[in-house]
Amino acid sequence: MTAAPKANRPDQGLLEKEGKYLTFALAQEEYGLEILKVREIIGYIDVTAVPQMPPHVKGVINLRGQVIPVVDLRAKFGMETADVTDETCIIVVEIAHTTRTFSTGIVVDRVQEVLDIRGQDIEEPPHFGSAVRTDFILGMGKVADTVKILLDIDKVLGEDDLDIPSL
Amino acid sequence: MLKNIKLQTRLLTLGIVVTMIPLLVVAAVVVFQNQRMVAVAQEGSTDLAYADLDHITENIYAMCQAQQALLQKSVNHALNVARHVLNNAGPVRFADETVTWTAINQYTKTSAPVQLPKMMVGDTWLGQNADMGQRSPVVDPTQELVEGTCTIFQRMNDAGDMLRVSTNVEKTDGTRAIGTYIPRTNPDGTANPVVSTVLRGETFRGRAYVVNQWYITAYEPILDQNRKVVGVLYVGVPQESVTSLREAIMAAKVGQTGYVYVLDSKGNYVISKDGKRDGECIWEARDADGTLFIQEICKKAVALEEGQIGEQRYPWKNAGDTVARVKVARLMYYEPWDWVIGVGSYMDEFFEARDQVTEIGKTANHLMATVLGISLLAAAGIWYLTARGLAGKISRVVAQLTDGAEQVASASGQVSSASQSLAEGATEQAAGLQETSSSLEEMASMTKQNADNAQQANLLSSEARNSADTGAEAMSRMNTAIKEIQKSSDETANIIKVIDEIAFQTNLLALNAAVEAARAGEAGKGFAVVAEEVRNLAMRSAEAAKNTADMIQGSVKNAKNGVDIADEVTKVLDEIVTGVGKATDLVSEIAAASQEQAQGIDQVNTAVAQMDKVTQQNAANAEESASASEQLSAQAATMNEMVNELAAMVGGARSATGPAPRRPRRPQLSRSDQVYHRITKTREAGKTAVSTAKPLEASAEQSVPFDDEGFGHFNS
Repeated sequence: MTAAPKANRPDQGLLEKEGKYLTFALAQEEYGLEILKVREIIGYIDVTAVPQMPPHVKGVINLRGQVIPVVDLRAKFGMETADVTDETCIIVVEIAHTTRTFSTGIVVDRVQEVLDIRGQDIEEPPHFGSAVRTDFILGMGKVADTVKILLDIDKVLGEDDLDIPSL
Repeated sequence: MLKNIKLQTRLLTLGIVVTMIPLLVVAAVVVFQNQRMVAVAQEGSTDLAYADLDHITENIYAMCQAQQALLQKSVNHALNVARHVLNNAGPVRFADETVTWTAINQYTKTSAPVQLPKMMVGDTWLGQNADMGQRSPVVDPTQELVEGTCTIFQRMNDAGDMLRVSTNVEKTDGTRAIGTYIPRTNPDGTANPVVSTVLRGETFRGRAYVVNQWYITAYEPILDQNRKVVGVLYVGVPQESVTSLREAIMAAKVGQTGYVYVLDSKGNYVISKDGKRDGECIWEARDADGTLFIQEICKKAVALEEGQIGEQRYPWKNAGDTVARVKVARLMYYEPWDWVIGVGSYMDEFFEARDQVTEIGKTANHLMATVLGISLLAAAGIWYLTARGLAGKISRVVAQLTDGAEQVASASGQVSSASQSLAEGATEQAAGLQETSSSLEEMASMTKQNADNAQQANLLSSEARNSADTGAEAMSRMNTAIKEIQKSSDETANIIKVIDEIAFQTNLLALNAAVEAARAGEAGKGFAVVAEEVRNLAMRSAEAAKNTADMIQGSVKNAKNGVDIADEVTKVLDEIVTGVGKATDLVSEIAAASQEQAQGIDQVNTAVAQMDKVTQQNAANAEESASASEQLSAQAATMNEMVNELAAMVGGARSATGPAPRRPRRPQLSRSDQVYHRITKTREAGKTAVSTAKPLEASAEQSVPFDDEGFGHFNS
């Protein structure tokens, strides 16, 4: 994974976090992902369920010959699961876990756009109760009137020992 | 007057009379018949008794006849035998020697000596044998042969006196009865029949009393060679040589104490009762009245013809009898023997049966009288009770009848009033019927109108339904069109969806491109812009698609709206159709109902007409019953009168207790006439006539004569 160049301004402490984020929606809230982490966005395709998996692991998919595990972000965040709609997509992200990088798909309700978020628009995540543990959150991005939660996908997915051997 | 005699008395009298008359008649008849019977019985028993007497008499006569015949035959035989013996002995001649005879006239008993030549038979002198022990020729052999007496007579003189010269007749002193002679002339001057006959040369047959009994004799002339009568050959058989006749006569019983006796015509007993008085002369006997009855008997008897029976009745009193009893004797005269046969007995013995019958008759009469008396009493008693009971019952019945008559009279009055009210009711009914009839006609017309209206409504509703159907059909077509719109909208929507999908995919593609551009870093900046533009484009098409989708949605919604509305309209049209259908049904029902109503009205009309008829009938019947009740009243009055009569009869002078007979009510007739008039009048008055139940006035002026129309109704 190639990291984006960071700026060293104090009020732009989060300048390093500026960049392009892929925004998606999950239930009512909008999240963002670092674009570099995103490998691909595909529409929802059938997931093959794998037994004895934690509930947030929906299964695997075959993406052009590659078997990629799919995680339901809702379940991961403890939200109730929702039905698959026309806008449901699977974002294939590349996460670095220890020494390896492997792709994982996450099911999201809606993919919006790639936003270029400046550093000054990114705030530190508040330290009070929110649906997400703050260490998952890179920051809070202010885009127009909305706030997008910028996720550290590594943290989101890396907590668990997925241990799925990648092909 | 008779009416005052109570029924009871009359019944009693009548009953007794009725009972007694037959009884009396029967009694009279019985007594009469009894008398007759007694008379007949008397006669019969008398006749029987006499018949008995007659039979006995006739029997004895017959016996005498039989005996006589027998004896005659016997005599003939004896004669033959004697003749035979004589002839065998030799021809009769006279010797020249003479002998002296003391000739005794056998009647007068005068004797005179006479000299006669010896009579010889052959060479044998007949002798002068008076000794029974010594055998005389001819006569003794003859006797041996025939057991009869035989005598040879010698002619004494030219006169013809015949002297017995040889005989086997024994006199009472035991000697032969020679020496007696039969004179030519009897002492009374008449020629002796024997001599006369013999001298004629004929054989005399007859009865002769020789010595002490009667003989049946035959005297045959003995002729010499010159055929001159020189003697007589006599044979005689005792009349009673057969003793059975005498015994029978003596044994004959007549009645209880009667007997048969035989007298000769001179009144001498030939056979007397038990033979005690045989030979006694009772010529001078008299009966209890003093009549020389024996003479009368003999006279009567001698006058009798052969076979004729005579009768003699005479009162006789035996010694020792207190009263003289009448004896009756039946007489017959047997001339050959000069026997007066008398069969006699006490009359009262004969009439024992008759007397018994008389006794019985008397007893019967007494019985009849007793029975009659008892019957009379019994009849009186029974009839009295019966009469009383009957009269009582009749009185009760009469009372009941009286009540009944009263009730009948009142009932007939009720009937007449009832029939009158019936007539009035019939009038009212007729009027009411008239009203009903007119109402019915109105109803009929209304119904007809109804039916017509219903018919029209039917047509209209049919048309409405047709229109509704057309509308529905149009609606359905519209529905189809809208559905097509919907379909095309859906198809368009599909396409839009496809476009949307493309936009989405394009968006994804753009995003992927952006991702790749970001990865590419610097080199990918231009690509990032392109990606951005592509994304914009995708956004725009997505938006356009969305708009179109929205529009299509809108149009679909409209179409749906339209469909809904069409559905509504269809529904409403259906409802209209349904309603119209229902209306049609209802209307047709109405039409049918109207039809039925019309029919019903017709029927009601008919019924009313019938009722009309019935009403007329009722009126007629009311009239009939009125007249019948009038008759009934009359009959009740009659009955009342009769009951009064009966009561009078039963109770004697009892006055009538029933109510006065009612006069039959005349006005009833005209009343029912009124009814008729009323009925016809209401008919004529028109359909809307209203009857007023006014009481009818019985005045003659209102009796309007019928007109033809009234009659027409009448006779329907």
